[in-house]
Amino acid sequence: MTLAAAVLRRGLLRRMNGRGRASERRLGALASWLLLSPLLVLFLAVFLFPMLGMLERSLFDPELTARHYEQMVARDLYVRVIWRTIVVSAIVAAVSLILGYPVAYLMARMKGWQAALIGACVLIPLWTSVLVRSYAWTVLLSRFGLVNTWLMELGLIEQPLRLLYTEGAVILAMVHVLLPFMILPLYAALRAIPADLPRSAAILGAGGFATFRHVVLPLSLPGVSAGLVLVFLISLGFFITPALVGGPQSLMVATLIAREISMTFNWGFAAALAATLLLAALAIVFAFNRVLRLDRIGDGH
Amino acid sequence: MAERHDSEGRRTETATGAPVRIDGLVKRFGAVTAVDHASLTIDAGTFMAILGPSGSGKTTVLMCIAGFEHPDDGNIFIGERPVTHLPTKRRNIGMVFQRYALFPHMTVADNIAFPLRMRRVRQAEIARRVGAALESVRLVGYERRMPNQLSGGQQQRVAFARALVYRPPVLLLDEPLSALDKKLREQMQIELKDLQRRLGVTVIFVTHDQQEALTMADRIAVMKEGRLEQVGRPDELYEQPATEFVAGFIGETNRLEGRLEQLQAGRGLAAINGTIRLPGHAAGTDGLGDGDPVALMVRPENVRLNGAAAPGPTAPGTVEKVIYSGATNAYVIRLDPETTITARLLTARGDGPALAPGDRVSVGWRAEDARLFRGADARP
Repeated sequence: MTLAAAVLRRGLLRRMNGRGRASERRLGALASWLLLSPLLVLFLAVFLFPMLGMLERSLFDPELTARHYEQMVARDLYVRVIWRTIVVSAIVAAVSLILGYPVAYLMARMKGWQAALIGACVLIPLWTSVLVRSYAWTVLLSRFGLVNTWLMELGLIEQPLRLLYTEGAVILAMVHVLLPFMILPLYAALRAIPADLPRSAAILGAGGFATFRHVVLPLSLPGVSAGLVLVFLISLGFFITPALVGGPQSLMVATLIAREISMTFNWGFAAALAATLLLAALAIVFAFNRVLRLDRIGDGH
Repeated sequence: MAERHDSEGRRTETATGAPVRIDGLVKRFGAVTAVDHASLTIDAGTFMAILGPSGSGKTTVLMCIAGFEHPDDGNIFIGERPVTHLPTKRRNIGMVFQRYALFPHMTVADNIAFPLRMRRVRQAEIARRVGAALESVRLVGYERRMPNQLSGGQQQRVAFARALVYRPPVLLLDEPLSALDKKLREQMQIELKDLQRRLGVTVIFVTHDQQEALTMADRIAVMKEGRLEQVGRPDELYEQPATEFVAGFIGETNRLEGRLEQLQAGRGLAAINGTIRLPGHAAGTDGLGDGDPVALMVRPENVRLNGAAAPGPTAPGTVEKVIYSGATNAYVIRLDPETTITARLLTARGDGPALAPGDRVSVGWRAEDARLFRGADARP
């Protein structure tokens, strides 16, 4: 183990054992706020302020009115699209977890160049544009694309399948794009588990599966929850991928909002949609955290 | 071992320890040989310390016994059973880690119950045994606490309770006391030794702290660069070190370099810088002859000043420094411009007047109190 890794591990262990003194772990309050202030200002200026503006617009366009919200509820389409967005995002998050966990687990267990290789495989796609990756899927999934051609050559199908512009295509492409956001928090959580814990489980009589179930999995739950929330939230507002590989039957709310703004210039209505999405997302994440009771896992400070 | 009974007179299940035998163990990490043909027999119920500096391979030996590392050659036996290729979970040994390795997401009771659950012990029996284990480490009432709500010493005791609750015949300890402060550590040393005697479990204790090894162990194995240097009782290692490394590693020692003279019946003189001649004992150092470079090792408490019961050759010197350390005083004495020696005397012994810096003294010792080892360099 390198010195840096050893130092890092010591630090983690110290935290896990709750042994570090408060002064070692915490900067002074003033210093913390000073260090945070640039980010805080940026957040207020380009995030919170526009968001409040949007909320205002959804209620005051042109004067105080519930018109936009009424319009949204009145047409079945909008409620359906919001509901679909939430369901698709949840599926994307769940599929990412199922596909991502083994990768993160392997990555955390490997050493040296093997871990670096897996890490590179996870990260490099993150550096390519979402647009490029989504277009790649349209090529793969189109009527005479690679997937259909191969399936026909293998004699598995007679006619090309309709793959593109389906909900399945949207989920597939979104999982592909968002997988790193699942793998990285999982990896961080798995990596933070001191090697002594699985070892002590083994010496106490637990086999590989029991060690995973009783020790590794519970201790990785903070990473699971972080990954799920992250992927779910990014999915909710995902625009390019559903727009490219999805069809009218798989319309997501971000596409709808963009359409209201750029085609019908209905800013107030778009703002109402966005506000509803935001509130739904907040409610779901809040409920999710309550259910998992994440504050009780790990060192529970 | 005799049959053991618990407080109500019932015979306890397997309370006696098992012997452990390591035979020609080799473990390499790439080009580095961490353990080099180590063989060690540990009798049932023995408290064995494996002592060595970091990198000596002592931890690797422990990891091989636990099954976390797989030896490149050699065998390990627990009792009569070869365990070299047995997975860790089936070796039925206990272990306490340096940082305790308690499961942070489980309560104290769940931590202690874990090995019993893995062994599919009945629920009522688990509750009884967890209660008894908590009682034995004086932590009754802490069942529902999480590990991070306990002090270091309490976590330590939970780790011991968890390691012993399934009564393993062998307990491995990987420097379990090193994270505690001095006072707590000394208290735990006594408690641990007491617990081990009571249970009769075989303990293999890895440490770099020679004082801890001397205090607690029945036998000590000293390791250096992957090899076993010497195995013996603490007093044997301290009084009759087999190698210069053992003499230097265990306890305080003075090391003087010189050339061997007048070797006769295992006794000889070391000529230091041509002028000083001091006696030593060269038993066990085969093939050493007059004129060879030697290292003379003598413990500070064996150095006699001003002819106090020190027959034989002495050397004159000057007291340079007096270091007060409670029960004893250390005197640093300069013999010549290049050579100093430390003598340690009881403060309250009243061996004549106290010495002060600048005092002239004569330095000597009984030949059997000093040891001559083959010196490495060929200094004239």
